[in-house]
Amino acid sequence: MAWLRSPWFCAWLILLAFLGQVAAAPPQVPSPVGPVTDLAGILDAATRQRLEQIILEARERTTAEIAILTVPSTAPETIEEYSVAVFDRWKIGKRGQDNGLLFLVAVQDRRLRITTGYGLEGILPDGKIGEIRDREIVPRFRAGRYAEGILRGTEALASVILGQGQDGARGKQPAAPPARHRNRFPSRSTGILLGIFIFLVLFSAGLSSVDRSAAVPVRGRRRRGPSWWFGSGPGGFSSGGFSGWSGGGFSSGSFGGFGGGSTGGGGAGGSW
Amino acid sequence: MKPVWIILGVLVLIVVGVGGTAVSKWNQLVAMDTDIKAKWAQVENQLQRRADLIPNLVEAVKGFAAQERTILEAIANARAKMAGAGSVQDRIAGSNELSSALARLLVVVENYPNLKSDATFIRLMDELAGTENRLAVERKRYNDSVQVYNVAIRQFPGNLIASVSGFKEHPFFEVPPAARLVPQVKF
Repeated sequence: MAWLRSPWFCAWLILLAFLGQVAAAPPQVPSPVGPVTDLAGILDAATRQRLEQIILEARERTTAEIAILTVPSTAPETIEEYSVAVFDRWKIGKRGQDNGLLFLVAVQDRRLRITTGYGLEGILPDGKIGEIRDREIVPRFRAGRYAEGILRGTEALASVILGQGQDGARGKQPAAPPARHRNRFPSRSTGILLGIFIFLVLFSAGLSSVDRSAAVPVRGRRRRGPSWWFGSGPGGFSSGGFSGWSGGGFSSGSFGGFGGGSTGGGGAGGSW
Repeated sequence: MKPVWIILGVLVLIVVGVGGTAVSKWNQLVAMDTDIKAKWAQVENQLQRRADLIPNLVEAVKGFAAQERTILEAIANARAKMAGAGSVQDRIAGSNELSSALARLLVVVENYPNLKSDATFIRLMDELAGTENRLAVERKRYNDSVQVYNVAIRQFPGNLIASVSGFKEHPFFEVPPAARLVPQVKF
């Protein structure tokens, strides 16, 4: 693949690496293979199928999305940080409703965390999740029955979502979750418009010698010339813009990915 | 065409270009500034949520450990102080004081097994832990935005725009180690 070796591609890689550093290098997050991603290998086929059924039913009846992830360990991050990173990357829950839920189990760490999207905080407050954890999950985990604990826990969580899902999720939502994604800057269209604008400005200024390098900001930077034209680029675009495009890897299998929800870090967890 | 016109045309184009850049930079700074304020509002939501939890928590602790008066008072004072704090810096300082008071309480709680196994207290600890985590999430998002913005208003040409139109640096929400509160729910 010749394009891999092209200097433009390298330049973009360097630029992306640079942007990644500005955004304080988010933790490495696995890609989801489906609603149930069992990287720790603690779920048997039957349990897994049953879990997928429950999740599908909840999604069809309430649009709420449940994701289950098991990993050996979340190190070096804490399970809380890791959960939010996974949630942000997978974007669990319907866009705008933020009614996603992530059930994360780190087997070797002996820790679990159930993280709710903004839209589920109303019907699944932290205390309630803690109750389910204490009643359904932890006793079974302690006995080493992980698959059963995850299944019973998911059933309990889904029944809360289903029980109030029809009116509860929608009725309570506007009050509890401020739709922060609406304020997110810069929106992609703003970024693109800004880019076009800067490009036009460059063009109109008649600096024909810079035009070509404008397409490759990294090269432009190296020039001694008017490199300050591009100074605004990375700062404006780096905050989250790229994660939206590169995030995912949903292509694996037939899994279509999650709906675009976000979380504020609510939920409960603990060790066993 | 006379060379005068060409020179004039180029000059006009340069002026338009510089003006356009200034306007787009200014708009960008406005958008970032607004974004930071929205993110700070999210932080405020969580600070408020925590403040609302504290009276219940204090009540629950009092039932089992009334003798821990100094810590309970420190929490009440820190909470009252936060309610009176106006500026972002004051709110951050107040929040950190409250966090370290809560952290001390959590250490003390270890001495009261009855309290630790109380159902109400466990629920409150879950709520507190969840709120602390929400606060940490919103704080990080706020800090990330502030970081980008603070760089933008110090870099050329942002610094020119900022000095003319009064864009100021926003403070980071930094948490000293003493105030780093991670309530552990153990079994």
